[in-house]
Amino acid sequence: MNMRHFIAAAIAASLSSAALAQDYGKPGGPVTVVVGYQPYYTQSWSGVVMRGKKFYEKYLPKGSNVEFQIGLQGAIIVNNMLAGKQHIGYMGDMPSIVATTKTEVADVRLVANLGLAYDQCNAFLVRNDAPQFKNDQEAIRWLAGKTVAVPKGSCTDRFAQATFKRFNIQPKEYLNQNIEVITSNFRAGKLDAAVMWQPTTSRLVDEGLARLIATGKSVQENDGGFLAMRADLIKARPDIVKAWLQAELDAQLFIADPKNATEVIKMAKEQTTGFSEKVLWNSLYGRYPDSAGGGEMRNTMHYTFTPETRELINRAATFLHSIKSINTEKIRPEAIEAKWTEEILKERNLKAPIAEVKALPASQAPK
Amino acid sequence: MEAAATANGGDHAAVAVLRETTPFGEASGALLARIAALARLARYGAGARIYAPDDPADDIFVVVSGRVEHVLDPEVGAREGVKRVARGGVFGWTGLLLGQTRRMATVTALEPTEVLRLNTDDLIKLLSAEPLEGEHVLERFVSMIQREFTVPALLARVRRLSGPLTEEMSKLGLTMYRMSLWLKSPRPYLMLIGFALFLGFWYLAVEVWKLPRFREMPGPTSVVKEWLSPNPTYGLSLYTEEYYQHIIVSVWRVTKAFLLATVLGVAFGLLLGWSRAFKEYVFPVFEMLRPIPILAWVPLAIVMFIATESAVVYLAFLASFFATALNTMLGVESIDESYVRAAHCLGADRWQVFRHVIIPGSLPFIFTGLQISIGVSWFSLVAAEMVSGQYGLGYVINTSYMMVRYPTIVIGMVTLGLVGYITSAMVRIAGDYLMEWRVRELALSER
Repeated sequence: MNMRHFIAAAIAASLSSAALAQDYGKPGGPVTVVVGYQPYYTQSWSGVVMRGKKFYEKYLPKGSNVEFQIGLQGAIIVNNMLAGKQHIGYMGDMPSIVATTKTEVADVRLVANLGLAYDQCNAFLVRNDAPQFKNDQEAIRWLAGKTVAVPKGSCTDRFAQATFKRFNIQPKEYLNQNIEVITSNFRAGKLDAAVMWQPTTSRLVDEGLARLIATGKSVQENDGGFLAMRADLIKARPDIVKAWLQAELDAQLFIADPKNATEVIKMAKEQTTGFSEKVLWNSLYGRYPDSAGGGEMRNTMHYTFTPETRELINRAATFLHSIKSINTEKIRPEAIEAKWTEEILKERNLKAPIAEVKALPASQAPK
Repeated sequence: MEAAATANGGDHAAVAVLRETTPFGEASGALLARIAALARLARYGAGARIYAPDDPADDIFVVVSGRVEHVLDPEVGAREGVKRVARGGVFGWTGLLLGQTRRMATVTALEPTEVLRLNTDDLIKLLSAEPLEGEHVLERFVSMIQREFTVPALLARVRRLSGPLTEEMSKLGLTMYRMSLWLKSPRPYLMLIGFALFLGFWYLAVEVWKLPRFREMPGPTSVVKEWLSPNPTYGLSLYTEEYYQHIIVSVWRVTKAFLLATVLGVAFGLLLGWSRAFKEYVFPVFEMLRPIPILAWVPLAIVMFIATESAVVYLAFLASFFATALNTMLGVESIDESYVRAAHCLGADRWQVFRHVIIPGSLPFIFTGLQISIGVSWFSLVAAEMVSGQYGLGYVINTSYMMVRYPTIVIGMVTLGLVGYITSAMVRIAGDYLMEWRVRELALSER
């Protein structure tokens, strides 16, 4: 094959692969979709359950093909969705909002809520040899003048900055590090504090590398997760949108049922590496001390776009704009497609929030 | 019998014969035409003496037809003093040699002979007007004098072209002169065309044709707009102080990593190449560690070093160290064994051989390694600055990826590329300067 043939073949291959990637088929017919999800973010575990229980098979047209791809962070899923390599994405609030603002690249929209909580993303950890604090308020004040790390642009960043503002404190250094680097830095004793999301929070606590001192509950700052879809999929296959959201509703109800806790944790264990069942269980069903911002409610599945979820979206968008992560203070109205979930709730005679994950007694935790 | 005649009407023939000569054979047609215009045709009968030693060395001769015998004065020290010169041969070059104004040979026509006569000073003047080609012509003269006339290298040193390129020139003047030569050459324009093609393709593929797999990328318009914006959407542009802070921090980190890699890598590589026992102990471990990507070192670097900055520098240093050490080792191994034996025969001890043979002998490889090393250090930076948490171009790229700020990613990439290019060029220039002896040696040995 000479160079001219090689170039022609390469161009043809790239054109055809791109064309195939966005071929959703005709309504009613089978579809091939790629789902980006985060087993390493507890709040979006309905993706884990969807993969494990295959709830979508009941609703998608026969012959459909679903491929699940793991994203270690929401940003990876955003990039893949924008590039057309993933069509459905399970993400935290911040990457979900960012994804909707990149219309010059691709139109991505939010179609469902995965839950609202106070400690799924918003969890302050301190090094294990930090002083013992009477309560979360004292612990937060201790952060003044300390070295704190967060993955910037994520929900952890928003929570940390909101906390600093509320308590009028300033850390000595405010570092932008990803969760792997933060974990290594805790191990090396280089950090005083960090904000992490579950289940890594639970793992660091379980391994004795860090202690939980406060959560979003301490400052009434919540976090959330959302389900996003590419607009071209929504437009081409409304039947698929609805089918997926029907299955998503089943997945959320499944998680919230305490009887399924063991099975959920088993699925999460199978789809992650480096996390024990106990750590995974703690991240969703465990209860942290009230003095460290713990509480009974671990995740509230709103499923559709309730006023609380919209308020979170607005607050998060304002924050993202303030740190120059997005170019608009408010996301465009059409970026939130509530009609699908509202319709399904009506059909199934349910009301938002559809379910709550409550902390379970420690006696039920895996050994 | 000499018969002078102008080359009027014979320029084509003159150019043709000049093209057959060693010194002028690779000159451009334009230069050859100008040289031909200088030429005067002369004819000599069989047995006529063209010149003798101590005659003024005024003209250079190019044989058009016939043959001459060229006998060099024994004092010249040529390996073969007698040479017959036919069509395309050049003699009478003594006037080109440094400090020579008189002939050093006897030249006699063996048969009726036609020659082109070129006044040496006029030729030098003409070549000075075309310094790039002129230098090349003179280099070819040197080569011819050494190889065809077997004149020792010490004597075969030609005059320099007149004009600004003189011994007395200041460093700045020399730099400016080199710059003017560079500007007169096609290189800068080819470079600009290369950049224009790259930018043009980027623009067309992303913004005009919107090719699949390209249309999702940030186009040059959005990147340039952001880069030049006093109020950039994503917070980083030429107008923001932070931009320069990132550059300074990265340059400082790469400088530290590069210097460390040079000091340790060269020493380590010399030892690897010089001591077989050391190499047998260490090289397998070295080769096992070398392919490990920088990213894999990140967690260990964090744990190994107390200061965050040390971990960043270590990560940027690592790949540079391997490149420098390996090239240095290969440099030592490339040295001809006979040099080492010769030094030993002359009574040099092990340390003296190391100092006077091994180190200078491996320098060309070391400098090649350093050029690779600085580049490697830059491309390790994105992984290294994942750890930094605050500043640096790698940090900008990484953070922008996580925050999905595409124009800022490209700004970080292009800036890193530009700064990396400049630092690589600086290392190359320093290397060229320190290795001038090597270039001269290669030129003289025609390699």
